[in-house]
Amino acid sequence: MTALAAAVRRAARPFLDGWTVAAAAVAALVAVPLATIAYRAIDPADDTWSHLAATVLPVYVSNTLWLLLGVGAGTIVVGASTAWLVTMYRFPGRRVLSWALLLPLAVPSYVLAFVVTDQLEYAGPVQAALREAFGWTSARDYWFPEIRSLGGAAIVLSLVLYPYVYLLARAAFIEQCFCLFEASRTLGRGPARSFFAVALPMARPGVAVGAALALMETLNEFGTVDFFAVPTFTAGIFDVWLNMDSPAGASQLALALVVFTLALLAIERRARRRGRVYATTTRVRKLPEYPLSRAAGAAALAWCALPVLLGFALPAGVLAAYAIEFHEAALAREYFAFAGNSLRLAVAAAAVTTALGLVLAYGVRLSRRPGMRGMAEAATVGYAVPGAVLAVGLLYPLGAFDNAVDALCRALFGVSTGLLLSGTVAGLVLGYSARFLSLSYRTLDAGLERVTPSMDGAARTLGSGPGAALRRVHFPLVRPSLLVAALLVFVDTMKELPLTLLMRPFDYETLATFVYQLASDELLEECALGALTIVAAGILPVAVISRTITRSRPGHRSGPRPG
Amino acid sequence: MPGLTFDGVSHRYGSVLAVDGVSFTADPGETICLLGPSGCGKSTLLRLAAGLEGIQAGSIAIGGRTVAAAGAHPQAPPEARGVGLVFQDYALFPHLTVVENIRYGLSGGRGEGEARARRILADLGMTDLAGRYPHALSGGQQQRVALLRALAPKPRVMLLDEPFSTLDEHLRHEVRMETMSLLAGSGAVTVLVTHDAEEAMLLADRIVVMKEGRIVQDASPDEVYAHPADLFTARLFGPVNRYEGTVRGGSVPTPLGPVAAPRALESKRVNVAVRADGIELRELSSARAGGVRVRVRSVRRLGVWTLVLVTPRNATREAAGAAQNGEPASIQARLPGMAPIARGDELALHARPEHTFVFPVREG
Repeated sequence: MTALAAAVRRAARPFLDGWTVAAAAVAALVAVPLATIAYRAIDPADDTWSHLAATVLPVYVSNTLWLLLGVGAGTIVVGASTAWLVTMYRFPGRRVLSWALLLPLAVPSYVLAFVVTDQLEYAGPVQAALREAFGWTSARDYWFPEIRSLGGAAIVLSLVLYPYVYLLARAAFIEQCFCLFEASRTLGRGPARSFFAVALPMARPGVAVGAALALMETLNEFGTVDFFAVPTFTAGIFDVWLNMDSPAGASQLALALVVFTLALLAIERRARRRGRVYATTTRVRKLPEYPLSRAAGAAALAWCALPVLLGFALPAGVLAAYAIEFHEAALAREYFAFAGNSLRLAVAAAAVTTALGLVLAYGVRLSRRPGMRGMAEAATVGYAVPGAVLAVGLLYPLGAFDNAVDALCRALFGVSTGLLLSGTVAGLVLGYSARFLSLSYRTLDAGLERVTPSMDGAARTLGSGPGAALRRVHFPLVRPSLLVAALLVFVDTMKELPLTLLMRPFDYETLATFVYQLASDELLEECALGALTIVAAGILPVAVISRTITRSRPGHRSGPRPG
Repeated sequence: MPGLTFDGVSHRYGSVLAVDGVSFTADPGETICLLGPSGCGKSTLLRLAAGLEGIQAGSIAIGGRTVAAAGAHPQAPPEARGVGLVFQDYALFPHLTVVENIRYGLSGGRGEGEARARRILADLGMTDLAGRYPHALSGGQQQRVALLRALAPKPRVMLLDEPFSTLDEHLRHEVRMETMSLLAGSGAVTVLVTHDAEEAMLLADRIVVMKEGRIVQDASPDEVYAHPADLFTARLFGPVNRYEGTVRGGSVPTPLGPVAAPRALESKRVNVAVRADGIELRELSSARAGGVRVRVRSVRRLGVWTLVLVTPRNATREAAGAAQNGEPASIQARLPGMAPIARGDELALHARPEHTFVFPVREG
């Protein structure tokens, strides 16, 4: 019987093989740049590595490690503590804060870096006010912390990245059976000790996943570290490539960076698996929302509001003020042209990446080959790989492709095709797709979970062919996930900086590159409108995410009452 | 000194009154079963006693000390009450091993606690489970660990919320017995919540029957079984045949024949409840025949019992249809063992007086 079934399945395979091939092609999109980097990095003809190792490499390594450490500690402390307070206690502003704490996610780190510097530098309003208040006349009269430093970068990055930890820690706190916390209380431990003994360890997988995501973003980070002059690996790739003109050296650095990334990825995946083991809860009870005393409530409010104020309200407010005051200068700077470029790029990237993600997600589901899931996992590594690394890895294959096509066309038709992918918008979109594929794949994969095999069976036995089943059953069920996937890719493309800087066509500006360049030249006022536009776009996915988490809890409106 | 006292405790969830003026006292060493259907407020009582719900009305005392009283005092937090609680789903900490779970509530140093936890496990021959995580335990093992964890700090009051409900039938009996012997050794007040009347009979020194947040009856198991306070309580112990009627001249007419009623209920509307276990079916030819002649409609033999449905043979249409409010017209009997009865048999039915109860119909 099973042999027969296997035979039938094997006979049915050739039809499904199209999916396998397509999924493999999508996976190649990420595999090719990584392979290229590895290949170029071991190119014996180039001796940049020993030179790098002797000079800048130790600096890159130590800066990167310290930055990871700072951001890791910062995001975990802020993210986990705010998540716990907002989930478990009732205090003024809690309801608003529960979603407002996600807002800093909308602010690209380089934008916050520019704003913070603008406010805290010698000529900025904070130091001016201090001088005024204390009668100081010059920088020699007082000490003020240097914001453009490693520590400053860690703080800035923590302020915009802690929402990853907040989001996943909150989900973990909400999901864990509250009875465990109660059990701890009846066994003689107070609320604080119960938090550290039970609630936090239970949420550890979620916190670890959130921190790993935040650290991946930190590795990807270019704008802030460049502006703050903190030479990390990513900044080093730019430096070696553009200033030292050594692509092989850049590849070698990129390869070293990939090692960091894979370590983080391993941590993340392991934590997710652990999280599944821990998810043994059976009953969901309405969360208690302990009331807090007036003083404790005020302290909780202050602690939870601080990251929102610094990470969102401050940059949004400063940018809005500048945008209004200097809107003429901003518009004169071709704001609309750059905004148009950003918009077109983001729409194209969203469409392509969502389509590719769908192919991958379906490929995994339809062909039940054991290798497929692994291939999909490999294909989604792109999100962890820093944009600069992907750019370095993609330029060579794209150039080779262009040359091959060009030579072929010239030989056959006597026509030169010129650059098709390298240094073109098409190549840039391809780069975004490689980077953001996991966003769309994971979203769609989760969406497809809702389509159970028996639904397929039901549709088919009721007379729908495979195509009709796709259209009438799958598509309506998956449509919300498609929209979310497209939205996430759209916004991340709007914000993306390092990949865009390296892969954009010559003289082609997006809002992100424009803001980065002007703000680096201390012209924040004139690019404020552009920066504000990116922030505004970033609020969209925040709204979507906060809606999904409030819905994720079963019976969140009318929790089951204890019998 | 009383172990655990509820005094006029009421509790609302929003607009729903879950507990309504409950008062009772449990003495040290005593095992009390709170018996009632789900939603009757019994679990809420446990949560109130443990301090997991804030008190709204009334007061609760443990060992003579008030731990929660409406209004006046701040109530004692759960960790300061000396209460052990076994949750329905056990609530074992999934990130801790068995021995760490048991050690969790023990005071004193790490090594000391660990040693005590291991001794506790060794006493039950469970040493080999010490290093395992909860997800690697069977249901029965999880239940045992949850119980040991709650008992380890030597609480004065042990609260158990449907502790056997998730276990398989065959395991339940064994675990119940073991649990009770452990609890008996601890000397704590034990309050156990269950919806299973048989379980309550088996385990309790006293049964507190609850319905819609109120105590219906508080008595020994024998008393609750032999003299249920109302129809609801009578029904907890298995199927009953119910008939409504009016008392005339000291008895109520039913399809089972006239049933004697107390004088106080004369000319009142009453419910007559006859346990399916209280019905005897005899051969018509037997000397003691008499009673009501019935015909057997169906027979289902379950091994321990035989479920039999009969209808009165010579009843008028009205008498047979006297079943009101959707009660089936046929009479249900539960006979011991594999009763040698077949469909279509004609037999004589007798209702045993000790299984026949008459309750006044409550107005409204």
